[in-house]
Amino acid sequence: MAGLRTSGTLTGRHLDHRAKLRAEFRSPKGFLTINGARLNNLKDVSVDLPLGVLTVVTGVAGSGKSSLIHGSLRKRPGVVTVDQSAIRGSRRSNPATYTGLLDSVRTAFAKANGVKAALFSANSEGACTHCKGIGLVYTDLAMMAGVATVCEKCEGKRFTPEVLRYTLRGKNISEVLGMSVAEAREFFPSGQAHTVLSRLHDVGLSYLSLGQPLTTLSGGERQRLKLAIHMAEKASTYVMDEPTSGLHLADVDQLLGLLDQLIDAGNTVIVIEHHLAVMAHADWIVDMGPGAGHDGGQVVFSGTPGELVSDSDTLTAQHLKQYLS
Amino acid sequence: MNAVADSHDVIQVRGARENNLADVSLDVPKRRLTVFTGVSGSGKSSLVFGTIAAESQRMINETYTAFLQSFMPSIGRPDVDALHNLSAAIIVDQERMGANSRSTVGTATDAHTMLRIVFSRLGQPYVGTSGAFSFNLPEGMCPACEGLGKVTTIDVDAIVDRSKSLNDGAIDAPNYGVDTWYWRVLAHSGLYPADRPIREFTEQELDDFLHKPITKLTIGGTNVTYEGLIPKLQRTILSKDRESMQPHIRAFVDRAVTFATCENCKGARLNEAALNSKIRGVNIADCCAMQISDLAQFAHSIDDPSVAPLLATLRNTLDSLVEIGLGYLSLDRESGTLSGGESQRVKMVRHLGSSLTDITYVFDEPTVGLHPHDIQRMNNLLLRLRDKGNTVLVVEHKPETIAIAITWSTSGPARASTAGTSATPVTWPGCGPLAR
Repeated sequence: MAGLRTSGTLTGRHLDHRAKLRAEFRSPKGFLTINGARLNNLKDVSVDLPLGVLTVVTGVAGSGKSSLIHGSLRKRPGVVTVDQSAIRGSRRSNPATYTGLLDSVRTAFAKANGVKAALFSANSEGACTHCKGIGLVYTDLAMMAGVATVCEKCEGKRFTPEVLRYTLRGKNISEVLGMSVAEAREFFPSGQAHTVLSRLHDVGLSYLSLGQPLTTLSGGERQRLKLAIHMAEKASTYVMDEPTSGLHLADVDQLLGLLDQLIDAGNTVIVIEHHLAVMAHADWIVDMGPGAGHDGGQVVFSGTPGELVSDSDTLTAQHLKQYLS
Repeated sequence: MNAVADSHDVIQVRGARENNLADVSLDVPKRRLTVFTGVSGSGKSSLVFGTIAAESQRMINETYTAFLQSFMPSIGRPDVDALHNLSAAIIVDQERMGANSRSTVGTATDAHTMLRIVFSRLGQPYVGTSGAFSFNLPEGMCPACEGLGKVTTIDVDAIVDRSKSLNDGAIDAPNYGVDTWYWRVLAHSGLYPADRPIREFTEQELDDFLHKPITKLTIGGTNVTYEGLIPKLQRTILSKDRESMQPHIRAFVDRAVTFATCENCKGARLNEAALNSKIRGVNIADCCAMQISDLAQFAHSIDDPSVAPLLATLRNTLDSLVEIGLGYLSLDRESGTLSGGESQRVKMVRHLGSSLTDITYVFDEPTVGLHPHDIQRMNNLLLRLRDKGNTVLVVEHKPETIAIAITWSTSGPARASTAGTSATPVTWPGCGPLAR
């Protein structure tokens, strides 16, 4: 491990990085009450979840965290849940189509040139006729692996030459799709498109190009793309199931910043999480346990992380103490 | 003993360029635990899954005849100059298990199959072969719910606005809007007026509208199959599994349908005969509802030489599940409701008991969803796989797991266009105390 620590890589530097407990815990604006929850192994659990702060619900696997939160909160109004399921994407979908960004981009192009918006979609009228808008030509070799070659007609640009002649502020649609989120954010200084792009920037995806097929995104990138979409939904309470899965230690810090941003805007964030850095960053911790299955299903601690470390002796408290020392 | 055959101690990757990898060359030691880490998008998965595992699986597939290969998924050759000393790779990823309500933890781990055989041999009274204990076979399933344990009822008032007529759009269900095909069959059936509010229908008209079984009608000279709204919705929408529905259909189902436990079997999924057959006063449904750790104890308490080998395998599977930290699940838990981390561990159980060695196991974030307390246990399992003589490759971010690895490589330094240059693999000098 010493070698990695001194290697100077991002991972090496983050191995010893420790999130600290907050100096001051934000005070709750009210409470969301769960009364007598009995789903699965829950033993008549009643708990108050503070509003307007970052709450982490934790506990060993099988202790009833998800049963408590999903079972009791999912159907309440104003609650948006981000679960663990992976987003699926075909080779036709990319960050622009998935976030709905392409719609406003297409409208902008159509308005500027006085033509139909459908021309600016690679899945519709504007698509290169040879590769059907994929930019690649797949040759099926029966039982051998297929071969993908760049379409010779559009040279991978995915659109017909006629469509590529229309420009918006000097760029054609293919060039816009080739931009990274950061570049596009400057290119669209206002409106719906800017809002979507800013959100992608906030979750740390500013390096992603708009037209990159979703099939080539990594797990962590997909996870954050999903977060960006859910943040767009109008809600006052966000419930996230393990948002750090697939994230590197360095990316977790960015996620914490994002959660703070949500809370500063007056929202409530409830996170089901095991990551110690997230626990340390929380304003409120609900610890489920003490064990798994029928040994669990109770709230063993509910309070600020400071109190958890100083007053409690649950499994989580022990590990958090170790982490912070 | 310096035989040539003993000289293949490292997997050599030369010039990997899959996705964003920038001509990466590195050696991965065999029969060791190697962790791959780096920021997301830096190329970990491209290297481990996209290159090493993909090539190994492709090579295995190539040993089959061309005829068989045409039925297998075709994997492209990864973009790499050379790969040497690969061994057969098994990928244990976090892909959710099939979201089918007939698939449970018991069926996925085969524990249920073994339990069925045990019951068919030892259960009193004798009711038949192991098929009689299966909720997926006609001879075992509950006749009322067809082995699902749940029945669905449609809330009529959630989909029909009784103050409106059909022409005004009284039906609020997907694909039943005014002038759609389904709507036309109902509105033009001639069994009831389309311009009168539903609440003014006579009893007969209402029954025809909601519940009439399939009949042939002639509407405007064309023969059409008519079916009341409720049975039609049940047949077209509810026969599908909730998890595999399109989002807008699922939203409709959540609004209009209530799932209730089947009255007949009380959620046990089996018919009466199967439920009456017991071992020591316990039937198979009780066994499946038990927490796995309790069931393991029960399995240890059964002692019958006629099924001894089978019981041994069953105990082994159950004990492995407990050991892997899933003792809190029950066999009747639907596999679609497991979290990504849980399904990965369920899949892992198969490999723990295997006597194959020299396999390359590839894990995708095995500690995801684990409390720090459970990570230690997972680490021990990874080490056990390694100690059996396997190469274990893990994509992971948690420092706790990085610490038990002997070698690791970190990709980076940044991501996307600049990423994938991969740090030269850092080798931990020897086997320190943490490496064991």
